[in-house]
Amino acid sequence: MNPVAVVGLEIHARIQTGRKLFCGCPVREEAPPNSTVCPVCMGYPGTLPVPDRQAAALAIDLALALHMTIHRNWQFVRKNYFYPDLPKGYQITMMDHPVATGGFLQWHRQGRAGKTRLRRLHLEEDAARLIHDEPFCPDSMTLIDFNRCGMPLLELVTEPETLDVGQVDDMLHYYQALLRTLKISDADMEKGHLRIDVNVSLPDFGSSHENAPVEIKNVNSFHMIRKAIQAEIHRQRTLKPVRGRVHRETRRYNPVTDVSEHLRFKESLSDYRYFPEPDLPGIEISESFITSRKNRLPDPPETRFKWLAEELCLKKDYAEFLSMHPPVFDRFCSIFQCDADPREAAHYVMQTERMLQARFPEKPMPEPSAIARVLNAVIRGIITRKAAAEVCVKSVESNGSPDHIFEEYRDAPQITDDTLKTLVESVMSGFADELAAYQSGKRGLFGFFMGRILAAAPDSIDPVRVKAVLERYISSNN
Amino acid sequence: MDTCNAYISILDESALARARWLDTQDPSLRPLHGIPIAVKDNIAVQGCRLTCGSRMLSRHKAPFSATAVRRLEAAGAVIVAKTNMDEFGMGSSGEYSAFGPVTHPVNSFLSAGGSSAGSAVAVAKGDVPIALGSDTGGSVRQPAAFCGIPAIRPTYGTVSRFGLVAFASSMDQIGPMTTCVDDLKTVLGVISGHDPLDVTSQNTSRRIHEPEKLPETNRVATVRNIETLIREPLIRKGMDRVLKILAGGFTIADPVTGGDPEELLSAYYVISSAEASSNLARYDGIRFGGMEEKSPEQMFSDTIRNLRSRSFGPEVQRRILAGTAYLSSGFHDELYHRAVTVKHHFQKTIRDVFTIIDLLVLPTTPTLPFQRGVMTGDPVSMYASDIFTVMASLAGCPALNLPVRDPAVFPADMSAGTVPPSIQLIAAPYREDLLFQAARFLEESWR
Amino acid sequence: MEWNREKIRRLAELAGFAPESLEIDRIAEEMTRIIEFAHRLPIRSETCDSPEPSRCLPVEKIPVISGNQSLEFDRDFHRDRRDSLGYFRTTQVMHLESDTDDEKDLR
Repeated sequence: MNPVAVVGLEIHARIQTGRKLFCGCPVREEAPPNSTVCPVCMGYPGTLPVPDRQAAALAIDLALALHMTIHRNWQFVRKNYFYPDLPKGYQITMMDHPVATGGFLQWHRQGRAGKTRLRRLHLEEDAARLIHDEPFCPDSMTLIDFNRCGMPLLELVTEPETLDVGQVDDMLHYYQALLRTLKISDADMEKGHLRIDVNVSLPDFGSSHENAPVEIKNVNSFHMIRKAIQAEIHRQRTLKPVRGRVHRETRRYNPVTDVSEHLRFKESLSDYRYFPEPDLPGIEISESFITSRKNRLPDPPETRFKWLAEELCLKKDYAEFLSMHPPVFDRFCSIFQCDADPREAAHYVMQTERMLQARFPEKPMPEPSAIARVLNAVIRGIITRKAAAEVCVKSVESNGSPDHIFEEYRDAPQITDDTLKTLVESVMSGFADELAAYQSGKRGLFGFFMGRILAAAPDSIDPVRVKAVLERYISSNN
Repeated sequence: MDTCNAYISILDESALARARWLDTQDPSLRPLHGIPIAVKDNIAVQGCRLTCGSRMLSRHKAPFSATAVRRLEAAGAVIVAKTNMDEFGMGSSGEYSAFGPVTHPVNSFLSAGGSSAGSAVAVAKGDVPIALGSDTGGSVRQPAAFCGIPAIRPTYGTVSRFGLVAFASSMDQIGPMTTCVDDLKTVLGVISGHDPLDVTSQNTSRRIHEPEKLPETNRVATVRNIETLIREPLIRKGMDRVLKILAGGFTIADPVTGGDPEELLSAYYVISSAEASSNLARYDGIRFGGMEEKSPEQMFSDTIRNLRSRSFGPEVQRRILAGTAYLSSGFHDELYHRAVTVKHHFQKTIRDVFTIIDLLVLPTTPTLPFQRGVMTGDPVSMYASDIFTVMASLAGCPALNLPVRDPAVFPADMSAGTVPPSIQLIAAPYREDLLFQAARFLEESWR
Repeated sequence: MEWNREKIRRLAELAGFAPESLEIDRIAEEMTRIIEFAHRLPIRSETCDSPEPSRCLPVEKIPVISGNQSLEFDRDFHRDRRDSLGYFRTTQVMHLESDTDDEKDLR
């Protein structure tokens, strides 16, 4: 059964410009508490916000990629409330004059597709980090770290649509890939780059205006979002609502009990006393600025997928992975652009290089052109794929160039013909049945035999030689 | 020496060190070489206390200097003191300071005006030739009028607000207060100009250095129907005299209609209180300011409420309460929107006015300095002293206060123990040059 | 609007003040006068929805501040208010509110 609900999302993505939104503080993961701060982001008396142009540019990029109507006059507002994570006593955000409205997110993932309409996109600053956990806090004090305070966020609000849990999951994964593709954000949920509030209501629960959406907070991973939505659908279904109503409220998902807990009833807008931010004049977005961003906009994942699968004829799962993982895609392109065979290049970035990165996390990867040369040697049959991988390992390990290592392989003394003949016989002796099957017509097994022999042979062996010896063996054992 | 309680901090050590360093420098390099300057205590000077006249910040030290201060120091000035003021800029009498009231330099029973009371007194007493104040609804011009010194509120955006503790962000401006108009012009030239740390600041300095000759048309007018608001005959006399003198070099045009002064006063108070309620929300005692004993069982909301109730004076509390109401749809947010509409409408009106005239002449204050203690009983009566000054604040126009030292108005035998009446000149945005021209013209005539 | 004690209490809390610390009756009277004074504002038909046109900043003109080079400040500015681990501390923060009657009805 695929539970379905009317789902609306509020997605906060941290923009990675390396700078905070309204001051020049650098942004560093894992910095010691209260070290990447200044009087401005800490709201000291006499300080003023200065917007970051790069954040504005990236906001426009996202709006373009989401086919939204970009507003020409943005106005920041103050959202006023008291809380220790809000040093100024207000958050600078946007209200009636956001970055963009309308548009849609068309997602594609593992062969599935969907589309959801969007409501709005705006910029705002993040709040500080509060630590409440008991072990950390003697006497129940709350600790505050302002490093995060002032970091730039892009908030996207979707229109509520009837979706099943799988579609929400696909949509979010695609959006994450899109943010990475546009180089807006790493969008790592574990690192807090992406925060999502989910609004859930049941489509069949009386008429829509009686049925207010319930906002679920504290969903910090894709997995939790799935579970939370499922749990909430179940909870609302089994509720016996008073007077036929579901109340508009905010709830907190508890992953231990797998049920949401009441947090508060939805605050009315008035409590925040919104008014236009007097320290920031309206920002005028010119047509030429939008055009300049449009001209530089990277293709979205779906377009990349089509190119990889249809034009370069890569396997679908490779095309899927590359299109949804921009850093790997960029790496693939840099190698492909050096005239490497696309399939070899894809295999390299997805298999070989990931292995290299895991084994040698601190070391730089080889130059794309050198990798391209090695891969072309594989295509021309000069070395095996396995040997090519070994070349790369050795070059990374020794900080040498793959070209040199490759030459060593190529010029390495080859095993003698006799040794090779003995090796082939020894390997093939274990496959008498398969040989018989081959003789009676199963020609595909030739590749299997080659694979087994190459695995047993030294890496530098020339596959052409092996092929010749194998053929002689087969014909002599007929 | 009676300081009139004009000072919160005397910066003797740093000033001395700086003066010694300046002695080693070529004096011709810097236009303000060695000049001592007093700075209102809501303008940051790095390493010095920045109290804003409030208990909340009584122990707070500024970790950076305001841009205006840095520019003065780069020009060779020496900051010698931080001056007393109405708390956070809210007040027109110098009586709302947590550090005690400021008294008038020639008569200690009188108010020196506010909120830049200490700065006005410092210049009027002759302690320093130049002081910096801040003007939101008249806080530079009104104390200058009460103390009898020239002062200017520049066009909004002319002087960077970075380092000025915010009261009403859309109207705050730093303004110099001096002994003569020439100095006003010099200081404004040093501190004004675009600052990348303040996005509301503009590039304007060229306007301040316009050539001296009078243009062919220099039309001057008064504002219609404000006579009844002038409560002091001497001020009316000063106005008449000034217009007579100006007629000798300017064209006196028909009086113009500005907005309704009562409406403008209300609009000013609604907008400034609303912005203030937001600007002062940052004072929760966590990162800076008022230190409270934190009892862990107490909820955060209670801790900060208690701190704020104890550390803000009554006028500040009133304005924050009112301002909060003006922004909250549960209370009176229709007033905030109406006030903003009035402000925008008035800005249009003023733009039109300045197409047919170049300078407005009107009083700065409705009265001469009042007695201390008489206005503090009724919050609204104090607001009425701002009736002539809020116009320029709402319109964003530059406005200059000039004491009328004409012997026909303020004869020498009268001057002991009193101050001359002052008038106010207002020009279109970025036309400080016209203000300086007219003011010097007047100064010359009664010299 | 009449300023009764309950309204003043709510307003005080919203504004970040402790209602007990205010002389409620005096404040109520003062607020009445202040709001009456504020009500001199006319009601005009034209509203101001869009940002003030005179105060618009073209996006190309937004200054670029790299690092904090434009602002000189004492890097240790908050040293005396942090604890030994580098954090600021405050008392309990309310992030979970108790059930209301409505919620109890729903169970």
